[in-house]
Amino acid sequence: MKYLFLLIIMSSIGFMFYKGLKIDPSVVPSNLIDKQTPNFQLKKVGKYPLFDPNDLTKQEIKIVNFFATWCGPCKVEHPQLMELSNSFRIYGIAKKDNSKDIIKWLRSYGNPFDKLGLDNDGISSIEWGVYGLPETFIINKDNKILYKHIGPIMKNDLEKIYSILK
Amino acid sequence: MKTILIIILLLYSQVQSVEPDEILANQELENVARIIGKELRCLVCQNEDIENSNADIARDLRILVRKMLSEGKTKDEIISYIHSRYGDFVLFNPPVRFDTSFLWILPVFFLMLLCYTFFRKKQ
Amino acid sequence: MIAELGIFFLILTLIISSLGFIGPIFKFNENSEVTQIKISRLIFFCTSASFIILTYCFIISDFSLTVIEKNSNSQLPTIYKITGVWGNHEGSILLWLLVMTFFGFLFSCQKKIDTKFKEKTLSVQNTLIFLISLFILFTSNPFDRTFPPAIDGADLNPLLQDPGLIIHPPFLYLGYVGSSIVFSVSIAILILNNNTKEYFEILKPWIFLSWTFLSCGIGLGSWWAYYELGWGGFWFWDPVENASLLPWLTSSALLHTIIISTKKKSLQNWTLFLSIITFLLSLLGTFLVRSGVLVSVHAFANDPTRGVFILLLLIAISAISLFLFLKRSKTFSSKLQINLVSREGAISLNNIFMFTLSFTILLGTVYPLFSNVIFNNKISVGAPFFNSILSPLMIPITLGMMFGPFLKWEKDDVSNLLSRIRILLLILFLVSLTIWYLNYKGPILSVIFFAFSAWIITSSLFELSKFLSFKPRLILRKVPLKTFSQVSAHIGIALIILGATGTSILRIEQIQFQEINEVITAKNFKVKFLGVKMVEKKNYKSQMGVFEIYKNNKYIKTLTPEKRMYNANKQVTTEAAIHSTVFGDLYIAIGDGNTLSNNSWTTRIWFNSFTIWIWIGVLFLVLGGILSIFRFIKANK
Repeated sequence: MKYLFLLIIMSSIGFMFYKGLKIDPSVVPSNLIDKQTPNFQLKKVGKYPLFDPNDLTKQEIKIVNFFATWCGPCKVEHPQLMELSNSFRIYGIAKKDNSKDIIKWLRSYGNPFDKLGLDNDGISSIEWGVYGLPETFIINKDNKILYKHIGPIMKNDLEKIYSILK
Repeated sequence: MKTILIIILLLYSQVQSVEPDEILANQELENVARIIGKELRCLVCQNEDIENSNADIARDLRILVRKMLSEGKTKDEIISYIHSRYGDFVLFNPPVRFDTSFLWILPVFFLMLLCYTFFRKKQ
Repeated sequence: MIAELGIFFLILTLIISSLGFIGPIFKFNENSEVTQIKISRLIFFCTSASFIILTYCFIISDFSLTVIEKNSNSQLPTIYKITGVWGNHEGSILLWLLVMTFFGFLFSCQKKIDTKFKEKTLSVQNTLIFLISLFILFTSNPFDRTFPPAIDGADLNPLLQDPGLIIHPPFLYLGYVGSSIVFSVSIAILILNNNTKEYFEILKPWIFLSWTFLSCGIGLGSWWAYYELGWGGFWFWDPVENASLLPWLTSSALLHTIIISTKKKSLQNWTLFLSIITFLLSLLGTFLVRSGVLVSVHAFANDPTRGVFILLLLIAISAISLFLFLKRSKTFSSKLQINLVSREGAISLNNIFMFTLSFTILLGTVYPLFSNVIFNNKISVGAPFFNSILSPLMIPITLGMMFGPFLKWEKDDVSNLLSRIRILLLILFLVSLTIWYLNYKGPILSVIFFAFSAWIITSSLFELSKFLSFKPRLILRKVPLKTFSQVSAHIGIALIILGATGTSILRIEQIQFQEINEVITAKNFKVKFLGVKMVEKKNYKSQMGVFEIYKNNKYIKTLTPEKRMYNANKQVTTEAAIHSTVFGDLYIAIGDGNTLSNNSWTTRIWFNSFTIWIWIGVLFLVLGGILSIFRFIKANK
């Protein structure tokens, strides 16, 4: 009887640790999935149209991308954003950046954003539960957050993203 | 992997804490801010609270906590708001729910089991 | 070329140690005791050779070896090239192996042990050594080469370029791995299925030896963190710190239990169980640190393959040892009833609460992981949780330390006890009043813990007072070594409580933009900022803040905290400057310059109360252990 008990305990502990090895301990899942998009307030960047909450009321799929010109991985995911912007509306929020750099960046690499804004105090980023860059949200036509992609969107992530966007 | 390790160690080695320009003038409110800060996790660091981290997100959260305190919000309201944005991971004191309850139930059960093992009546 | 020799000795270790289990299974040699002893000594020699070769390669900066290329640099001072050997996963696990063979060697030299018993113990130890060397050769070979060989290495983490790293890991490993011998002896007892007291006596010196080393190792780590990290904290409830505390707690419980199981032949099952669990917890600690399964500042680079291997080792060793324990437990079960009010009862309570504390810390550490697997959530369990469970559990542990030594064996009576120690109770009452008077203005928790500390010290000194005699003059009669070591250890704990409470609860902080020549007051110290000097050293550049310290308007000294930038990898560290006194530490760190003003810098000035007593307490604790070990060596002659 007690041997059975030992077997159960050892196998469950072993199983849980084994499963634990596959998990990345640093990834924090979003708490906003299936919830309505939060409020936010951004500053205008140069002559680009300002992104504000009203834009999210449109009855269509939207993508919101948090980025910065000083963020290396953001540059890496840029081509994928350009590709996505051909079929979907992408809105950009620049975190802790400045207008001059953003304008230069968008001019050099291309602008995937329909509208964008600058979050300089980090308050809007906190509203969205953003802790690192880049982070991308997919929002459905009813203004509900479907999915959050943490880190750069690589080429092989596009498949998953397209399947969610359908 | 190695780069990540170095970046992580870099963050840790820079453990400083609250900057002078963040400290509230009101000493009592500042103390409450510190207490709250010790319960909030720096989301990009290795196991540190926001009071003792140099990371951007830690500083932003520290400033937010102090801003909300200055607006008259309570400790519970502030923690609740940050919890709603970032989920359970940001709380160093886990919320009490069914799935976290075992954290407290199991030790009590364990204690009782041990007391029984040592002091039970033997034939 | 010489690195290949290193691998050769490792392979030798693997092959020879396999005789640890192959020998007994196939009954190779009739005179089997000599064989196991020879094996233990031979593999100690081989592993030492391998380790010395690795150290040599580090010293000559052989960057063709991957581990040296990643963890060393030609600019490093030689001493840190040496400590770099164990500042990484591969080197440190080789050190683990070395210490394991060392303890096997020591045990093989111990006199006055039944030969059959020695043989059984060493065969278990050698089997463990086989398993670890298998792990090293397959997943963590320190002699792996990179091709083409690098010209120079990445710098060793500057945080690890500190005297603390010279001694902290070795002592810690001596403690962790010391428990392997305790484990092997216990398995030998179970295999031989004999509950004679002589066998349990053998456990005693090894329990105390590994406990003492572990106490040293943990104390050193905590001290190092305090001095090196520039933040003034000494314990962070980081998963790896918790991992070292777990076997220490069970070891502490064990050294109380072994007293009973050798004296009274009861609690033998529990002793064996604790011995096994302590080593399993050491192994678990190794798994947690090296597998990448937990987020920790101490963690070595993640490698899930290693993780799987260690996990398999851990499960296999746990399953086999615990299975054997359950199978043979009947032999060691006792008919004796333990009374709550008795010395045995007090030790049992101590064990119950220490083991519960250990279990709860383990639970808190792995809960986020397990909960993620079962409930698919992502929670954090941190300092607030651990502090909240430690505090209540300190109460019964303190009471145990205070009154345990005065309880009679087997059965005692509460009213009888109280009348026997009525003088002590009176003194305790007076001490409580004094503590209250000195601290009533402070937070209630500090009063409570200071009281605990004072009570333990009072009780311990009261115990010693039994040996005071007043005729013809005031002398201390010969105090048994046993009593001295117990009193020293308990006082050590009390002092640690004092220091820990003062440092964490009674902390004064001053953070500001300090202007040149501005004076900041912290406690009764005045700190004058004189400015920042730029200093250049061999492998780093430093921003050095200069502060003059005054007390009662008298100049005490100049402190120079630094902010360093290391050349090789541009890493920045904070070096605090500390002025220690018995009442507390003045702790200063320099931050960045104020961007708005040329003349002021961010400065952080703390006053931590009673910090030095933590380290003094650890010394008392370790002294207690050393006195006990000395007692066993004397007895063995």
